[in-house]
Amino acid sequence: MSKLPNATREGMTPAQQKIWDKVHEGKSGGGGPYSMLMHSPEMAQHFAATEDYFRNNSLLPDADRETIILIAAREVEAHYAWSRHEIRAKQCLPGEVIEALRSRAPADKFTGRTALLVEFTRSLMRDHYLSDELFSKMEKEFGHAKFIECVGLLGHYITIGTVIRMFDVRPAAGTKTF
Amino acid sequence: MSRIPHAKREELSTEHQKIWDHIHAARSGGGGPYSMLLHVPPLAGNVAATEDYFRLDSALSDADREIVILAAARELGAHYPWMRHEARGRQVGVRPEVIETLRAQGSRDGFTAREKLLTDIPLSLIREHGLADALFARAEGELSRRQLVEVIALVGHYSTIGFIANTYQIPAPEGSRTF
Repeated sequence: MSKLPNATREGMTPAQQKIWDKVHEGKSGGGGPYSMLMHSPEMAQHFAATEDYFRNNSLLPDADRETIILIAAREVEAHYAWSRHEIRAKQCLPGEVIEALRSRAPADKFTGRTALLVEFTRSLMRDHYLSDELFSKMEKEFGHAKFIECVGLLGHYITIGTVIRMFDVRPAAGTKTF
Repeated sequence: MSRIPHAKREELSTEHQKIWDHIHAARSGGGGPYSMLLHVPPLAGNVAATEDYFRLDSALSDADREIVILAAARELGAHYPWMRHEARGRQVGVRPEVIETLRAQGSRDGFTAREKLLTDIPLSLIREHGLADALFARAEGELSRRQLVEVIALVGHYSTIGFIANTYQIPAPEGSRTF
């Protein structure tokens, strides 16, 4: 049981119900963070649009995207987000990488691009800052546009993860997270 | 000087130039986070639409919103957003004492209960990614359900803005005072 009741379609204005339908058509189940965000439907639609962008039109390969999301979900302790994205990550990341992210292994336990993303994500989340060296590595590896997407995706998942944690939105009973 | 060059309108497709124009029509200067985000115009468009929602249609009052943003920008060490929102905060009636206390990261003992709440929430979310039960209860008692959800999302949105400002070291204009 989350800390607030789920938003419900009944009781919304017709315009808000249209937003509800659009937000839910792309999401299975319709629970999760949107069950809380939809207490402000006009706001929620913008976060949903950003989410759809990252899911359908992002310049980042799936593996990079899911790596950033899992690190963010783990840092924020957003169990629901972890559970949803672990399923997706299994399609594009090796099992040992997922396990290392689950246990918050230090960056030197990862290799290559994953190690760089771990360092980048944790640095920004913990220190709100990137050293010149780390910035240069990211820029060299990703280039302007993809690097900006990494930052934007991280910010978006901090929002999603915080909503999940704060309102105690839970994954299905029995789900293994961390 | 930011860490990478600003996005340039003339290098964008016609479709993406429309996003550029829409973003710039509502913003003076054209610098700030959008000078970077517009390297990815569709993402910039979504972030700007979120920002416009908070500015124009939010359930939060203007002063409440600006207090939350200033506390978040200060905690993240994000100079450009601080500069913009200090000016806006003054315009919408945020008390100068609140602005100066946040700037100095000083004691908030002189804040009203609402000012205290609206700064406790971003500080706790940014530092700990959550709210202790007592703070959650205060928030739920003081804010409507919609306002509560919006405050949380606003802090998240400003994490995105602050991260962009910090990652690219977007400077506040020369001569402006931040912190």
